[in-house]
Amino acid sequence: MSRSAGLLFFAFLFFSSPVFAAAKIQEVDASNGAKAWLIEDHNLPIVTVRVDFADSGAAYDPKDKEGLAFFVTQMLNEGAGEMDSLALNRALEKYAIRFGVDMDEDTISVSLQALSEFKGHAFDLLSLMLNKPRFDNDAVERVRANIVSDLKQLEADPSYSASLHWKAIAFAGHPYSRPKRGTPDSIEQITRTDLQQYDRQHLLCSARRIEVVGDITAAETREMLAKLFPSFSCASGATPVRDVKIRDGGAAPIMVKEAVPQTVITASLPGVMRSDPRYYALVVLNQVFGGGVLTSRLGLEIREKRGLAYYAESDVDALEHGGWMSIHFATRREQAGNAIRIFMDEVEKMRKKGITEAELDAAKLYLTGSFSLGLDSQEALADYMAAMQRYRLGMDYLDRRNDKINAVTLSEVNTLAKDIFSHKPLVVTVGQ
Amino acid sequence: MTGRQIRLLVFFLGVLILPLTCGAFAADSRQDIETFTLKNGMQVILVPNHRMPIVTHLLLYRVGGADDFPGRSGLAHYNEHMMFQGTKAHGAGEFARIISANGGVFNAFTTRDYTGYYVNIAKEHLSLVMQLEADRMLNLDPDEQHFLKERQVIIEERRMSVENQPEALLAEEMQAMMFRNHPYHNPLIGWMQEMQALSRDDVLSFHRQFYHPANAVLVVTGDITRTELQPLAEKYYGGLPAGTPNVRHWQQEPPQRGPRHITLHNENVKQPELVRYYIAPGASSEDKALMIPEFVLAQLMGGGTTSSMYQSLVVKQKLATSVDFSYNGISVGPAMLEINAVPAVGVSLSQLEAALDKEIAASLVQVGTPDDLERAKILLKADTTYARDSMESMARIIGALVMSGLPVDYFNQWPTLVDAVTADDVHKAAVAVFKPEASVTGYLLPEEGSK
Repeated sequence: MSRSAGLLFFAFLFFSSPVFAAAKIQEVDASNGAKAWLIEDHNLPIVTVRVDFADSGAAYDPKDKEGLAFFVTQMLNEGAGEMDSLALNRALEKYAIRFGVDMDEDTISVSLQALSEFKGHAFDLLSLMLNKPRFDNDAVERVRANIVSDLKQLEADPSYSASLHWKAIAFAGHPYSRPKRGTPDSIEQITRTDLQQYDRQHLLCSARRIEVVGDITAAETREMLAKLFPSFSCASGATPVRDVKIRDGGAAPIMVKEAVPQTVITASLPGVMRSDPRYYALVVLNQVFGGGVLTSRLGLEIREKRGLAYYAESDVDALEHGGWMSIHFATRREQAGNAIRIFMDEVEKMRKKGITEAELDAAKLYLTGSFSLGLDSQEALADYMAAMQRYRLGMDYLDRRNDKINAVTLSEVNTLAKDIFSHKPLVVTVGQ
Repeated sequence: MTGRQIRLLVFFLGVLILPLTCGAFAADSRQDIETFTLKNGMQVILVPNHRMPIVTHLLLYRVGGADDFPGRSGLAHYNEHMMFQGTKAHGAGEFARIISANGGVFNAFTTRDYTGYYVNIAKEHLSLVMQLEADRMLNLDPDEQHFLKERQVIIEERRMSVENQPEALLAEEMQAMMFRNHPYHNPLIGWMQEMQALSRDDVLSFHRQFYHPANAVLVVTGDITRTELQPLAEKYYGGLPAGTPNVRHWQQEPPQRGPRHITLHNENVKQPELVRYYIAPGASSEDKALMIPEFVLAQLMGGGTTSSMYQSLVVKQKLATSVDFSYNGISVGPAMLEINAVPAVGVSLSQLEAALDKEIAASLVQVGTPDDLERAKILLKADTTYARDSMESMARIIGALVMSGLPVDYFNQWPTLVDAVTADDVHKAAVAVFKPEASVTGYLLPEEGSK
């Protein structure tokens, strides 16, 4: 592979960029209509590619076949084209290719990392895996058995129990309420035909969002795109999922009995959709409420002051059709009631008084100052760009994001706090 | 499926082939790693990466769980927690508050062999970090109530990571059986009764004994040069009284004479599991020359779906749904090879164990084909290139190597060392590790009498 003066020019531009040397995003269009967002980084001889499939994911699992989307993801490197599972995996190893899959309720994603010298082979293999999966019967049965035994292992984990029970209530009546990985029973119902159909409808025929980072040029990216997605001739026709508001809690926590010495507590409050202009105010609010483990209200009251828990935190969560705040803490059985009371007191305090100017400033300093730390690898950049594409944040988002945080006002946050914290938190406990 | 890959020391990477200067691709470049000592003898290691104007500051102390005072298991880890609870100059929570206010992300970790404190932050705040770290290195002084409160926190951590998790309970039992005399037999987090009795005096004695520059190594990765780093390190650390380097007097693990077996029943278990441990050659053992061949062996036999164990037990015989190997060769004390296998429905753990033993016996004759060996080596070598992508990973990896007594440049030597491994070396590695008398086998089962 020869180096051209053009490459050196890009590399130079890359280093002269003031805020984010690593964040000059180019949109690359291939002749077949496929597009990708590209960040060139020629410092290391590796390339990272991520592909997200729109309207795929657990929300599209048919009734009684929960876990179908997940099962499909686990089959993608179990045989493609002329290669069975063993041949395919040997090929991936021979070129030291790293292949990964991920999935949430809305989206299946696939990632690949390759050394520059093997990227041609990597793209060929990726193309096979995405376009010609085999779903060989013996591989299907072997993967089925593994998914089921993994699920049974997860059943011993009270955190997993807590999240399943919480979901079922929080999103009752909506596809998001169901277990992403299915259950041993639902996995047993899934046939090879189901897998092929799901793959056709939600992967082969789906719109894709693609990110590329690393030692590759725009021209090479264009070539790769043409190879990866030879045609776009089918329409997915997936039934759209409706938006959903998370349910409030009732008078008492939902208690799930399990013989564990430490009670695991999962709670939630309504949030906002990712596209809501109040999203940034929510991020700031969350940072104060439960974002910093040793500096937030929850962290200070539950852990730092009283030693009741090792973790006590809140997060801003978003999917394409919903947004919420989740809260997690765990404490010994005898103290669970007390910890929940403290949590509820903090909810009430937040509802009544919101946050202070000092808290607002500290949260902003942390959120803006630490932003670039989360972009410290090719994979992190690819994942971030995937979120930017998914939620249509714009190609220049990396440069605008800190301004958005800094623009949040105290009154915005406190108006939002009053709104959100007036809801009754949905609380699920797993323990004795 | 993309299930569990072999849990080789994740840190482990191979050769560095790429240049730091943009545009030019030299054939055989190594990762730039520099090291120097301060005037008080403290070692500093620098790994430059100029992609973004951020740094990782990782301060490591040559003390870990295996150094806990007798009867005081969990002390090293408790000390790590107390490092955030106040010095004479900065009260409890100040370290966290100041770093966060400067947009930094921090954390700490304790291993059996060493303890590390890291901060990822914009380059311009490096001296602030050094100031705070130098302060808490020597001036730890939390109030009494913070000791009591933080003891509760570590106890909750034990509940979360061990007592709520049947697999972890089994691992804790097996580890205690694996090391009859070596301090590795104690859990890092501590035994519950001992944790409940840990005192302020314990922490302060421990801290006074182990926390000083002679026992510390600083690793800085990211957007920094030696010209920038050295004067800062001299200013904040170089003038501190050195103290004495920690000389370890760990109890030795005597030769092991018989396989041990444990069965753990737990009412929360729905899926039986088989676990096997072997003492293995490692970075500090007499047979340390077999460490890299052990990495190759672990990859060949249990590194994923192409591995010999998976192909035999899962694909051909259908006795298991998964099997994987984990090898922690970069260790100051005795290393260990761990095998985890999940039986297929209708297969008992003793049946699975018998099949596992048959495969192990076969491996003493041959492990894989020449093609298999080549692929395993390619994978191991590539790890280093991939690792260079993350500055935080690089700090952790270099830290792990140096804390385990390996030279600073081991990272760059790795590919050559891996390349040199022959089938005969792998055979020797198998013979060295698969000694039944130096093994523990564990069965994890649902409650007796349940289905």
